[in-house]
Amino acid sequence: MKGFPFKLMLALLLIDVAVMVCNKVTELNSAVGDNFYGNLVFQPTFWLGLLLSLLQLWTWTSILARTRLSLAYPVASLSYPLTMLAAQCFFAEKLSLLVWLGGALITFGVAIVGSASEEKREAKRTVQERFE
Amino acid sequence: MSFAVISAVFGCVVFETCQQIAFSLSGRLKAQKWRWLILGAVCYLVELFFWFRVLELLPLGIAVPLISANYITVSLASHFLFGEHLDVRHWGGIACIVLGMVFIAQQGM
Repeated sequence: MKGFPFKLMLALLLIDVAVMVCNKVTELNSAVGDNFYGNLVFQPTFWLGLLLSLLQLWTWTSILARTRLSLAYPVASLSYPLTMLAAQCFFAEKLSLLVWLGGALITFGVAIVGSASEEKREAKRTVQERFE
Repeated sequence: MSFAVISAVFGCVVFETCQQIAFSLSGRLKAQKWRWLILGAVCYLVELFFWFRVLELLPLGIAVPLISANYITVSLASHFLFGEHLDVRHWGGIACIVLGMVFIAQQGM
């Protein structure tokens, strides 16, 4: 076990937020006219979002190769409040205190669910026996 | 919450769950890994369709935490489909997510 990959983790959080911002920009630019889904695929931000999603996957697997899931997940769940913050900054969305409270609960819940699922990897063999 | 919003969020969560199950199976099974991988990728594309509909209907700051509902459905799927044991901690996490979603759904509309 090497040290905790802070840089990769920070990169992951930034990518998480960037993907969501890309998606929202794509949606806003596609909403003009009546062919919403037709417009989507012609937005550069749509493809940038897809590309970043692949990078996100690669970063996440790199993190998991370096540290435990129960450590990585609570940090990764910070992408929720960070995305909400980005929504307020970039898209001038008004989020009430209740929404922030809900966001905090969800962040906490996702961190717990993610870190609790670590032991489930042990169940892998049982599944193989069941399906094969 | 309108029917359009609920159905779009529901579509996202259902296909995200299917995607997770498919990718999980592709990792777990020895035979026909590719089939499950492709199915997972198809589910991702269908989910994108619903996700952009959600973004059209809701502000980003509301949509993102709402989609965390898939942690609940994936947990339940892994329990009932794969027989994984969910401990008290896990159920506590699920309860937190549900409560958070209630808060957001109340105010977010």
